[in-house]
Amino acid sequence: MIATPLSGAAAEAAGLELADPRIHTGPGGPPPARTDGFGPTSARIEAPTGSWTLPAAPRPQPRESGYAPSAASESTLATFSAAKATAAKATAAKASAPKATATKASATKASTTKASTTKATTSTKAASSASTTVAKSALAFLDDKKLSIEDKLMRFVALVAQQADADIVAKMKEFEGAQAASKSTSSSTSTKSASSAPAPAAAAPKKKGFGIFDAVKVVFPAVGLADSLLSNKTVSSVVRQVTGPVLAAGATALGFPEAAPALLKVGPQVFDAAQSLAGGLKSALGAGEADPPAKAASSTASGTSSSSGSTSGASGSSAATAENQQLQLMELQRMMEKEKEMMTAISNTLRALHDMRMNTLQNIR
Amino acid sequence: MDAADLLSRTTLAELRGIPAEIGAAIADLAAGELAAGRLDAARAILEGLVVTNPRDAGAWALLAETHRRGARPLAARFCAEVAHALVPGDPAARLARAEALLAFPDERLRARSELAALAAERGAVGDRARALAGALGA
Repeated sequence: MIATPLSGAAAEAAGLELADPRIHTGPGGPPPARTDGFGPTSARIEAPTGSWTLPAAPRPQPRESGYAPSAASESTLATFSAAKATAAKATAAKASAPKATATKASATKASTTKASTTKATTSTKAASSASTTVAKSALAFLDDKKLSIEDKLMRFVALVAQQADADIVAKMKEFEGAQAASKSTSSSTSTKSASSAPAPAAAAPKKKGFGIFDAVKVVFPAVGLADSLLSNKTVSSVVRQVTGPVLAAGATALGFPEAAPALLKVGPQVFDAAQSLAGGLKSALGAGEADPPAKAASSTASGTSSSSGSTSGASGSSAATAENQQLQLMELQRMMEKEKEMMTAISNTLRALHDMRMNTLQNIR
Repeated sequence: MDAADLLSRTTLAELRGIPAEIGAAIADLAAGELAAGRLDAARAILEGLVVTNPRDAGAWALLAETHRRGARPLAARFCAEVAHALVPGDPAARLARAEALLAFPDERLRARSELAALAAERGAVGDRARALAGALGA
């Protein structure tokens, strides 16, 4: 048993219950006298079998619900069944498509032999139509009347798994290629910087398109975070503790929905980017020395700082590469999750079919 | 942006036709996980809920409690502040914020005075506020 004086919030945070007769205010009257040999303290915690429990935290009542009206659930079901019917029609249409596609492919092939000038484009078309034919023929078993629905489902599962695996392997190869490319780029950069004279401006990487810094430029004025807020350690910590989607939801709830997409995309990294942006702006405007963390972050991420140009350029590119790699890994994870969800759905369908038949048999008995 | 504009924004729950009953059931599920000590599960459920409907103050308050019990006081405060901003006068939201503020030495005085004010409330809010205020020696 623990007998350490502790505040109520800390005790609750530790998952323990308070046991102090003095603070009992519940409706059940005072707790029974303690027989564990300890005297009364200002606040004592004991094992979960304590005589006093902190009342559960109540939930606030919503002022504006944000949910759909209750009748919407029925319309959702109606929409779902309508979508199901549409999907069934589409599947039937797809099943009849292979024959027509195959005819098209042969026609294309014949025309390719005759017209040599348009060989490249025609062969591309033929290749795409051939692949479509392969994809359609792979699903040809769906029309086989001899196969049961379970067999069809199992074959479909196998086909989908095969395709998903191929996609994942391709993604991994892409990831590997990107890694190799980044390695070669960084090595050539370091060779150049070692051989030539220091060139701070040339070493800074240039980003194209709408990058994280552009997002930060859009987001942070909207949220109204000033430079002092960016260098605030509390704000820094909270942004790092809360995940991207929750941060985005919080921004929406607090009246900044325009900030949500960027916060959702970059999450906690947005703060580092904002800090580096603020540091970069400070140094660029000559408004005095930026604070050390912001300065360090600015030299790492933006590479526009005046000190150690080549080093900041290399670290900036490595940060960008790391970000890209992280994104690719996340994409891989998403693909894996998608495959898992698909498998679960099909497995549940098979199980439901099995249960349905078993129930029917049991009812007949 | 004014309040009318904010409230006119459609949530994912509205788009997907999720009624408030389903939201309440999900929140109850998370509360059960929280009571059982499965903080990660509760956090995952509640994060999904606040993303689905960012205007659900109850979900924000529960998420604040989850973070508080998971020793993430700053995240807890963020969520509690959002809940309080959504329903400023609600005693439960005030209580959630006061509890979140207790973790910060600079804000402890404010939290205590808020708890003392909430102790006069009736029902679960008052019970909890009185218990916490008593434990703190207020």
